[in-house]
Amino acid sequence: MFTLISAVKEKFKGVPWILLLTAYAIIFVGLYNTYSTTVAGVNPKQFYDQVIFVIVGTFAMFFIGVLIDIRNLERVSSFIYVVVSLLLLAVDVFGKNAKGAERWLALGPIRIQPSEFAKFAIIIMIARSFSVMKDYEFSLVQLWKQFALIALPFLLILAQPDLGTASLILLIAVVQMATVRVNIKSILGLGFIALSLMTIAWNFILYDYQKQRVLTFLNPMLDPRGSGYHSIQSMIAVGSGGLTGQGFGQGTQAKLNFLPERHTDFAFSVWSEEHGFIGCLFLVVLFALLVTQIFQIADRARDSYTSIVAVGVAAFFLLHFLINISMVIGVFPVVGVPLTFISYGGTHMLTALSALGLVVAVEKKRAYVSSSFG
Amino acid sequence: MQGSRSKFHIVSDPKRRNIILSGFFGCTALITARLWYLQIIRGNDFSIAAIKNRIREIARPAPRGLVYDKNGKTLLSNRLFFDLIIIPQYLQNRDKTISILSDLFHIPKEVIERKLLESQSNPKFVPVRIKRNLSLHEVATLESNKFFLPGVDVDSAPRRDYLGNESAHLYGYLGEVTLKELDILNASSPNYSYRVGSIIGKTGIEKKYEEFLRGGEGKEALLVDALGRLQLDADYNFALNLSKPAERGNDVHLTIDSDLQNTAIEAFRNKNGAVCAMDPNSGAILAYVSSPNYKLSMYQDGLNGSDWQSLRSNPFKPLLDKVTGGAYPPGSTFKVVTAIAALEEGVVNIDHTFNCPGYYSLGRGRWKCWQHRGHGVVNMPLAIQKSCDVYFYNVGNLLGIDRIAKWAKILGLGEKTGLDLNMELSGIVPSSEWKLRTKGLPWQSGDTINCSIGQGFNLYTPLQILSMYSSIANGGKLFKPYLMKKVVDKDGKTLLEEKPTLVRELNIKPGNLAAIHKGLFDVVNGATPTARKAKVPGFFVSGKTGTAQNSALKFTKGKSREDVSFQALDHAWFVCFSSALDPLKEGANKPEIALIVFSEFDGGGGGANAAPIASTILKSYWRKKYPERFKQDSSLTSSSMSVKVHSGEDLHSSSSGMHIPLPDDEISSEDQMLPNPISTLEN
Repeated sequence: MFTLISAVKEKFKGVPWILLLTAYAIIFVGLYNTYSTTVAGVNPKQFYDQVIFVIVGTFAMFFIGVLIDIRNLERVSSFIYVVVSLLLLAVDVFGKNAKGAERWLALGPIRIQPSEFAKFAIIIMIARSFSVMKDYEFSLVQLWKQFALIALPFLLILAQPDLGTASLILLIAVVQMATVRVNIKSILGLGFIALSLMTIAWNFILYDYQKQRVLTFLNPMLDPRGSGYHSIQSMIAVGSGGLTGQGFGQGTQAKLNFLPERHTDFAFSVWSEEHGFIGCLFLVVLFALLVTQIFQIADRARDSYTSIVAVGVAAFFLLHFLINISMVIGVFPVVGVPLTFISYGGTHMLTALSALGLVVAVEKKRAYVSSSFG
Repeated sequence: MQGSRSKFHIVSDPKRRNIILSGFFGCTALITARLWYLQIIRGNDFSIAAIKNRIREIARPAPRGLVYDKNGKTLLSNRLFFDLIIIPQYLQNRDKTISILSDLFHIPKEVIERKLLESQSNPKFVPVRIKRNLSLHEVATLESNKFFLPGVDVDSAPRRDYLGNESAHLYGYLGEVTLKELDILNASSPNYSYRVGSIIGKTGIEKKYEEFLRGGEGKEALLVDALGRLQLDADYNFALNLSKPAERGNDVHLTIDSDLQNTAIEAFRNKNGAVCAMDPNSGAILAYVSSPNYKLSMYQDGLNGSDWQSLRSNPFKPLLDKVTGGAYPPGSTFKVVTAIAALEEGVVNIDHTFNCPGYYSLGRGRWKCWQHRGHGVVNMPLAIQKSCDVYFYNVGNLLGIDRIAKWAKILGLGEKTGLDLNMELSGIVPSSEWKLRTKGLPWQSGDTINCSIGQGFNLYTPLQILSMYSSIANGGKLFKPYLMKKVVDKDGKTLLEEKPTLVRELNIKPGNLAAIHKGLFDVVNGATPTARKAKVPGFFVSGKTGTAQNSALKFTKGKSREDVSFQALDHAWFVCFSSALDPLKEGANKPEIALIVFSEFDGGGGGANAAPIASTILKSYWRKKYPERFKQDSSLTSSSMSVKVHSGEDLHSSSSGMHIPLPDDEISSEDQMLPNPISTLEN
């Protein structure tokens, strides 16, 4: 009995409990908000689904963070990357259609969104690709391998088409690489290439509806009943929250369906409408704490792999947070980027908690290494 | 192994991580600032925007005020009607919805498409009325399918229930306000706001008393979701605080006697023209009929193009109110004007006589009397009784046109009576100045001859003639005709009461007036009366017939035969007043009712065709007032006075040669200088 407890104690040694507390505080807010949008609304099943996702995600988080050694995970990074890429290919071939985009893959009764897993895969894959490089400073030419690694899932997701997720994959990888010492000339070169790619993408790759989103982002009032509708309704929802909000379950924008995607991409609008500026500030502070803590873990990491993994996870939370909220408050085009832990969505919850598990593993590894030296 | 992965070899740069983290904090600060801006600075604006999103204000048209007759009998009421509407904003799957509606309500798809297209310029939330006045079955059909048809709804509105009272020209039709009317109405009514789609009175009393009848439009604040579906959630009942119930309009009590009105309609059936009855002692209108009539409910159901075309192209002009809106040659009814002018101007006295050989010569012109063999020697009362044209030619010639015109104007001709119903005309009182001004030609003495018997340029509305005879009947007071007794609000409080308005005292010498009365009395009751068919046994009727030649006769050239045949027909006039006691006796009570019957394109004379109608109407009036006097009569007597019997007699009397011979060849030289030399016949 005593040995079991001490074994468990040993296993959980070094787990960053404050980080988990922050994360689960956000998750609790998310569940509470989902309850408001779904139970009090039309589809109570979604709330219970979300609870199950959190439980499954928590198991995944502890599995990755506590049960397996991150070193082993590093070894299977390529394998995971390949599996996810195959899934993405499968989506492009057999995917289930949702609003003009194929994002879902039906596996029996469960539908999964491989593009979410791709976020996890790219984090560990980029980290893995750097951990085997021993140089102190890189030129972009040396990074061709990383670009190729990004390009594969990026293009597969873009083909779905899902510009938001594809860009997120790219951005997470870019943030990871940005912390690597790359010389300035190379970065300028990268900027030039990115600009060219954007021009090409605008003219040849982007679908009309995606272009339309960008255009109406510049002036949502151009088309208040069409593409600008989401932005405007979301801003109305946020703004009508005022200082303290309308109260739980009282948001009319959400309740009366003026707010589109209110339990997924626009869940933060509902939170803003019902809990006002104070509620928003609470959530913003929680996210800032979460991201800061992950960066601190990255700082404390003892090797390239764990450090870059932690940066990747930080980028994951940071980017979802910034893009989603910017979208909700009308300063960014409406792209399908969920707010981690707040928006409804099983695959994303699972991915986010798995990513959190990575950070736990990183911190635990450092604690283990530190203690073994100490 | 751990040593080889020392901190020194970490490729991730803490400095760059710090830059990224700082960037993140910067962005977070900006987001917080943006949230502050949206929620604190502009929070109120967005709250209002959210309210506008979920609250839809629906205007609830007010039930119009009721209309009663003088005895308190309801003439116009209200009933709830249901319309099929489409709110374009919430229309989903347009083609499918239209095809379902088309199947359910048997409306061609093109019609729905057209209606949606027509209202495209309106804001998207303004409902488009697809079908008006649905049956209850149709309402039930729609309600049960509403869920599948977002944007389709039933709108209910109180509308006029005409209760079978379809005197279109009197009551007037209702219609949606036009944009032009909207500006005028809103400028003139500061306390009431009309909007697109408001129903207003377009003609008749609905228009005249619009400000009383319209009521207060209500509004209903409805809580809707993004699809425009009504939310009945009790949590949101705050929306109802913004609602305001519609207030029914004020009730208007008319001076119309509905029994008399119905009798007049019945007696005048199948005739074209106008019938109007008035209380000569006040100007209160008792009956008001213009024929042919049209159905008011037709407008309410939504007039379609072909109905509208047939109304417009009907040669008998059903849309025209012939009581006030049509001016016609008055024929012999005008002779009293010449008579009064002559007596008052002292041109002749009552006993002055002229010989009527059957024609009258002036210069090279020659005018015939309707009685070809002549009336012999006639004085004023006799001339009126026999309607002797030659007497009035003589008198007219002595008077000159301007003195006739002066008295016509004193008697209220040539000016609007002030009833102000349905675009009232002022008529034309010809004078030398008038002819010079309008035609640029000098007055000819032949013009005077024509005008002195009511032909020539004279054009008056039946109401003007009636008003003039009323003023003669009551002893010289010209009253403004009026229709409204009072306006009563919904609590029964009288808001406004209309009193008789005296336009002017005629100041006719009593002796002269008595002579005119004598003449008019003898028209009906004399030895050789022209209007004996107007008699009502037991009551006293005085009046004057008129058979006006239609000036269209001169201009029939080149027209098809059918058109000529009816446009060339004479107008038959009969105007009269009636009292229960002998009006010629000193101190007798005054006439209680004045009545005009004007039958356009009648083809018969006033005495033969218009007088019997007047008799029927007067009888109805007296029977209602003194039923005991009619009980004494045998049923045979009263039924023998019915219209049907009269129409049989008409055939007899019209055979006694009342067609118009054209002017003789001898007078054709002067004829050419006179624009309208027409002689008149009277029976």
